Amino acid sequence: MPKVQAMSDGQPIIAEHRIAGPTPLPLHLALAGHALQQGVALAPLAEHYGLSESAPMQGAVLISALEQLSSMFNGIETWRRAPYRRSVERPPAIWSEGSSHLLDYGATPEAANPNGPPILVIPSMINRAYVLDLMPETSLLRSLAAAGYRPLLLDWGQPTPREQELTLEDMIAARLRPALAIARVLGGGPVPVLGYCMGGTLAAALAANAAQDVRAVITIGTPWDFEKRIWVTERIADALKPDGGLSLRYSLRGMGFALGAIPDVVFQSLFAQLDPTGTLRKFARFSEGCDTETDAKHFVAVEDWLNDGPPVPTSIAETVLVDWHLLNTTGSGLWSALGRRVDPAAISQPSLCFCSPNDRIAPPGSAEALAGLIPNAEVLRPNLGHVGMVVSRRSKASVVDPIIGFLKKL
Amino acid sequence: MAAKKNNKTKPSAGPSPAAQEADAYLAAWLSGLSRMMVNGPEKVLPQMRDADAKGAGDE
Repeated sequence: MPKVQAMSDGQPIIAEHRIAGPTPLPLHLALAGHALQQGVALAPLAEHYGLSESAPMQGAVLISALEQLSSMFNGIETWRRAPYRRSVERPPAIWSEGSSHLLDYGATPEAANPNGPPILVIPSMINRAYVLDLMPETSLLRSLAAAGYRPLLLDWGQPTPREQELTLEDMIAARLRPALAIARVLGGGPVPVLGYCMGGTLAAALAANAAQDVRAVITIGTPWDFEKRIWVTERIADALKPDGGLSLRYSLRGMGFALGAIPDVVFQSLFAQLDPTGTLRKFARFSEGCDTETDAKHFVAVEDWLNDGPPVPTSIAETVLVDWHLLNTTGSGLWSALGRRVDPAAISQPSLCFCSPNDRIAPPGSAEALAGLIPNAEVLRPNLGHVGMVVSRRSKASVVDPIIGFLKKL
Repeated sequence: MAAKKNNKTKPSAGPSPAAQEADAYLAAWLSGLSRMMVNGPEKVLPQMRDADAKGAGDE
């Protein structure tokens, strides 16, 4: 297949929201430079470490490293100039509370049955909900609607200054619980809940503690046992644990006091640590062009979404980063929601858990721990990354179709 | 990467074996460094521990 340039129109348009990206740019550049510098320094030992059959010339490696860096810059510039802007029409909200909206995908043109069986869909609060509807051709939500279901997406929205005071328990009680009640009324009985990332953690809480309203639970890339970390997050946790997370907790509170909420850049900085060469490699590859125009648009759409994270209310960031990630309140049975501890062993509804072996945000050990605790949970292991599970074209076969098959059996 | 850039600037000559080797090594290093963040350096570079132990003994 011929290669096409990612930017086909050649217009020097730099979208305003892309100027500073990829967020945080200085960190991504530093990580890339550091990785390349290490590569150059280690070149004489390449054979010894099994990286090469013979030691490459260090000068040639230096040139290769500089060209790799240059390719990354080209890729970033190409992305920044890309004319693509997501223009997917947002479905109507059937209920709103503050800046949160319950979006009705039964009202989209793709929907086969506007009054089909409702599914409550719970996204993460760290990134925007529209990842589940990034592009029409790969939209998880529109695919479910086309199959005759009525996905109801709880879009948490961008917190207003007043909402920045809300806790996770507030969001569960005042946003999630009413959304589930509405879905139940529309469905005439308990409904399936589907959660992505930390939305799956919340879905498990509903299934366990609001069981009468939940017909089934589906989790995608959902972390649970935060002691099952990958190597780098274990090192970060080692550094933060000695004071029981107090320094991290007070850092977040200080940031929240100064800025009103925890900015997206904090989470993006942590995500960058999970794969310090990721930005370098993906933008260098992008600079070489994509196989099709659709692939290029897809890359741009995903990058735009990654760099469009909302600020997170301080208390919620504290719960996620300190209580969950560092102290593992979920995995150790100490996390409460809706007034009770959340015990996945109490989930008696049919359950389907997608646990990717390639997921660095919800590593397989962490995600499979939840599936292991839910009696009779079905586990599927798509060979996709954390984001790829919901945006990749391959997700149709390995995620969307199995969900539809699971729902049909209910 | 070097091989592709050489292709562009010197289409008739092609990338030199040294440039190809450097590109391949660097790609292996970057990929290995990425995997290290998941599995730790010991599993990705199995010889590292032995080499470090030997170095320490030599001192």
